[in-house]
Amino acid sequence: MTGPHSTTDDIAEAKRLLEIYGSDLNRWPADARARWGDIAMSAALEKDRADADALDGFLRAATAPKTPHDLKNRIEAGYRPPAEKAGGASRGLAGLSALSSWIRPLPAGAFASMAALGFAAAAVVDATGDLPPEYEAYAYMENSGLAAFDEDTGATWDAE
Amino acid sequence: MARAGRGDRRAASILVERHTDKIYAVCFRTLRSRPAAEDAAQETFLRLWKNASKWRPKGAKFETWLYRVAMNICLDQLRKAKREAPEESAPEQADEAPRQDDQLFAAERRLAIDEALEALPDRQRAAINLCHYQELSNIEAADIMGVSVDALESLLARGRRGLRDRLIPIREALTGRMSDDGTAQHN
Repeated sequence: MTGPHSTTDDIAEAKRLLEIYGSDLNRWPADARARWGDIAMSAALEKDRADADALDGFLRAATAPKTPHDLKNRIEAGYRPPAEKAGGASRGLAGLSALSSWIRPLPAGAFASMAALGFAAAAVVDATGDLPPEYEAYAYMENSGLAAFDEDTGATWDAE
Repeated sequence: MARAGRGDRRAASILVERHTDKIYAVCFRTLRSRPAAEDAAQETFLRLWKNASKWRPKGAKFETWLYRVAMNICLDQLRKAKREAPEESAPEQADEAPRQDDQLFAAERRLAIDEALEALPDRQRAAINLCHYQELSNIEAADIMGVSVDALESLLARGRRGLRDRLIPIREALTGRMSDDGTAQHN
C-alpha cells in the first residue's frame, strides 16, 4: 500500500518496475521487490498493474516450443570425445606411422636387414640410454596407459 | 562438463538431457522458426563439445555460458538472414493442434501474440525471452546479452511497451475466453 512514506519518486519507480518485470513480483529482483513491491500492489498503480498483468497473460499464451523428439539424439551424435578428434596422439606417433607406411611394401627379405638394424639400434640405445623422441613418446604412452595427448592444450584423456 | 571434456560420453549425454529443452526453447523463441532453432541448438552443443576440454569450473556459470553461446548464434543468424532476405516471413507455429472450437480460438490468439513478438526488434525479444520465458535473473540475462543491467531493463521496458501497444488495443478480442494460464475457456 502507498503510505505516508511513499513519495512520487517511489510510485514512479514502482511503475517503471511493473513495466519492466510485469505484475508478478516473483519475477522482480529481490531488492526491488522488498522496496517497491507494496507500492506496485497499491491502488495508486491499479491500472498499470492491470496492463502489466494482461501483458504477462499474453506472453504466457504465446506458442510454447516443443523440442523435436530426435533433436537430443542428433546433438548427442555430434559429440566427439577429445581422443577421437585430437590429432595429438597421431601427430606424436607420426614418426612411427611414417615408418610403418614404408615398411609395409618391402619384400620379406628386407625385414632381415631391418631386424639387423634394430639390433644395432638397440645396442646403441643400450649404450647411450637415449631413445629418439618419437619412440620416447610412444613408450611413455604405452607405459602410462594414456591414449591421447593434445599438444595444443597439454591435456590428456583416458582411453574409452 | 569436465568429464565430457575428458571424453566421458555418459557425461555428455547428461548435459544434452539436462540442457537441450532450454536451449531449444531460447533458440525457437528468438528465431521463431523450428528448423533454424534446431540448427542453432545443434551448433550451440557443437561449440560446447569443442570447448569442453578447456572448461574450468571457476568463472562463468556453465548454464549462463551456454545461453550466451546460443544467443550469439541466434542473433548472428538473424543478422545474416536480414542481410540475405530482408522481406518479412510469417512466424512459424510450433504445434499443429487440431483446429476445433476453443483450439481454433486459442490458435488464433497465439498467432496474434506470436506476430507481436516477431515484430519486436531482435534484442528486445531476446531480453523478454531470457527474463520472462527462461526465468533468468536480470543480472544473468544482462551477462548473457553482454549488456549492463540498466541496458537490459531498457530493452525489457521497450519490448514490453511494444507488445502492449500492439496487443492491449485488441485485448477484448484476445482475452474474451482466456484463463489466467493462457488456455481458452468458454464464457
